[in-house]
Amino acid sequence: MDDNSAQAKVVLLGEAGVGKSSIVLRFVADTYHSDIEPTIGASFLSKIVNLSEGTIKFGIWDTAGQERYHSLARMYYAEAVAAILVYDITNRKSYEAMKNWHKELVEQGPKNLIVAIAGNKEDLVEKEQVEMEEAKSFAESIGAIYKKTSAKTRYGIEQLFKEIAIKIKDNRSIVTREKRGSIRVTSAVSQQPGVAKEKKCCS
Amino acid sequence: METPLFLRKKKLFFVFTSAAKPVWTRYGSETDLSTFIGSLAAILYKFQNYYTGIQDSLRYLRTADMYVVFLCTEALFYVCISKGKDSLESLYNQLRMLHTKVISTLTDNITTMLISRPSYDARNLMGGTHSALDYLIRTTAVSPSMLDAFMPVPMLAQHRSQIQLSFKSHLDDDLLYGFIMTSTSIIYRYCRKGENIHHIDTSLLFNMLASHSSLRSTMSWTPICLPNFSDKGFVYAYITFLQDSQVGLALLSDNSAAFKNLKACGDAIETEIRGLLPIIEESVKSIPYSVSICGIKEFKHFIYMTKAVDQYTMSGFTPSTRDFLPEMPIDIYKRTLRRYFAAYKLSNIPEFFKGNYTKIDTYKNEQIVALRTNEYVLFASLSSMLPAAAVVQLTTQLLRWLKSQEQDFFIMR
Ligand SMILES: Nc1nc2c(ncn2[C@@H]2O[C@H](COP(=O)(O)OP(=O)(O)OP(=O)(O)O)[C@@H](O)[C@H]2O)c(=O)[nH]1
Ligand SMILES: [Mg+2]
Repeated sequence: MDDNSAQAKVVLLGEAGVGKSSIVLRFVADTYHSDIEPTIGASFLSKIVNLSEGTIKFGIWDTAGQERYHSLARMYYAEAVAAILVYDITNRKSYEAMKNWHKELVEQGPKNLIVAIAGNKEDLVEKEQVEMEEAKSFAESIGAIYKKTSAKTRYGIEQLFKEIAIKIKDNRSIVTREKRGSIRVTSAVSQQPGVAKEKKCCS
Repeated sequence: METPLFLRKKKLFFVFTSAAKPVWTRYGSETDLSTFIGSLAAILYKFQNYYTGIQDSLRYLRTADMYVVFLCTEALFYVCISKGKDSLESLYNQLRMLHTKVISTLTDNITTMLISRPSYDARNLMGGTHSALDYLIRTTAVSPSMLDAFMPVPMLAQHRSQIQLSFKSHLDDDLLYGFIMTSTSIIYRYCRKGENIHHIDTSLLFNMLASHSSLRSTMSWTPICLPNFSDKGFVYAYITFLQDSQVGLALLSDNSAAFKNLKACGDAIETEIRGLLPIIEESVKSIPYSVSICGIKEFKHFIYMTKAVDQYTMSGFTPSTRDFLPEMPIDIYKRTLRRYFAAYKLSNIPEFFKGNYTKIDTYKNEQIVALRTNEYVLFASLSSMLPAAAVVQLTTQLLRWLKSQEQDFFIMR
C-alpha cells in the first residue's frame, strides 16, 4: 500500500546551527550529540506517534540551514502539512531569519500549512537574546504554535510534536478509518472521502 | 612584522575573489588573512599588467624550499603555498580539484555572480564544507591525479555483477547514476544508458559521502553539482546506508522531485544486495593489498590504469584513507609517486607520445617504469639492481597479469 499518503509530512526550517537536527534526533531517537555535524541538503526521518485520537506517522524533512541551500528549500516544504520554524533563543539573527522563513512560506508555501515556532536552546536561557513574550506574540499574530524547546534537555520536544499532531488531526484533515484499523490522514484539500483516489495526470 | 602562526604550516590553500575577499582558507583566522590575501591578490594584479592582451596570468613563484602556485579562474583565485616536496603538477591538480569542489558545492552560477559583484562575501556560501575541502586536499595530495581515473576496491567479478544485476532489475526512469560506496571505498557505479559518468564527478560524490558523517545517520536527499554532467545546476542524490553497516547507497537524479521514486528503487536494491554485505565488507578490508599478489617478487609497487573504464588500482597504499602496508610506508610512497609524475611528464608532450611511451628512470634505491598507450598506463617500482632487459621482461609479465585481472580490479560495464 502507498504508505506515504498516511504520512504527515513535517519540514523543519531555520538558520544553520539553531538545532533543527538536534530537535529531530531527540524526537525520533531520543539522542543528543553536542558535536553533531551540519546537515547536507536534507535528511528524511520518520516516527510514529500514538495519540489518544489515534496514530500519526510523521515523515520529517530536516533541512540544512546553510545559506546556499536556501533556494532549494521549496522542494522540501512543497508537500508538507506542517512546518517547524526553529530559531536559537540566544541568537537574535536566527529569530529574524525565522520570520523571513514565515514570509516565504506565506508567499510560496502550500496552502493551509500548519506552522509551529520553536525557540530552541532553552537551556541557555541566561544568554537569551529574544524574549519569549516577543516570540509568543509573533506566533499568535500568525496563528502558529509556539514552543520553547531544548534538544539538549528534552524540554518541550515531545510537546511540540504532539501539538502539531493534534492540530493536524483537528484542523485540516479528514480521518478515514481503514480496514486495517490504522488511521489514515489525508489532506482535506486534495482529497475527499468517497472520491476516486487517483488524480489523473495529463501529460 | 610578525609572521602569523598559520604561515608556519607546511601547505596552505587560499581561495578568494577578484576583490580579494576570502572565500575559503585551510588555516588561519579571518583577521590574519585579509591582509595576507590582499597581498597575494596584489601580486597577481601586478603581474597581470605585464600580460595585457595575452591570455595568461601568473602561474607560480618559487624559492629554495617553497612553491607559491596560482590558479586563476574567471572569478575565483586559488593559491597554494607549499613547503613540501610536491611537484608543480600535483599542486596544480590539487588547485583544480579545489575549484571543482567549489563549483560542485555552488554550481558555476557563483562565477556569474562574482563577476557582477566581486566584493560579495562568498565565505558563508561555503559554510559547513571545511571538512570536505580539507579531506579533498589530504587525499589528492597522495593520489595519482595525472591518471584521470578513480580507484574502486577489487572484488570478484561474479560478485560485482550480482550488484549490477540488482541495479539493472530495479531501474527507474529517474535514475541517472548509482553508487555503492563506503566512506573509504567505491564498490560499484551505475550509469544510465546513453549517459557518461566522469571520474571527477565520481570522486566528488565520493568526497561528499566520505567527509560528511551526517549523511551516515539517516537517509538524505541532497543537491550536488557534478560539473562534468552540468555545471549550471544541481542533480539530487538519495543517500542511505544499508542497515547496521558502513555501506552506502547513493542514487542520483536530474529530477529534483524524484526522491520518492529513488527511495523505492533504493529499497528494492537494498533488499537484494543485503546478502552480499559480508562480501562487500570483505572487499573493503582487502585494500591496501600487497604487491606480492602479482607473483613477481622483483616489484615493490605498481599502479595500473585502464582508459576504457577510467579506473586504476594500486598495491600497498590507499589514497582515500592513506592506509599503507609495511612494504610501502607513506613517505616512500610519496617519493615513488613523485617519481611516477616525473617519468610520466614527457608523455604529455606530443613529440614524445605517439600512442606508445616507455620510460625507465634509475634511482639509487629503485627503478621506475612508466608505460603509456592509448588503452592503459602502468607505473611500477623495481629493485635498482636489475639490468634494463630484465626490467622490460618483468614489466611485460606484470602487464599480462594485470590485464588478466582487470575483471576483478575494476567495475566493468
Ligand atoms: N545548548 C544547546 N545546544 C544545542 C541545542 N540544540 C542544538 N544544540 C547545538 O547547536 C549546534 C547545532 O545543532 P544542529 O542540530 O546541528 O543545528 P541545525 O539547525 O541542524 O544546523 P544545520 O544542519 O547546519 O542547519 C550543535 O552543536 C548542537 O549540539 C540545545 O537545545 N541546547
Ligand atoms: Mg541540521
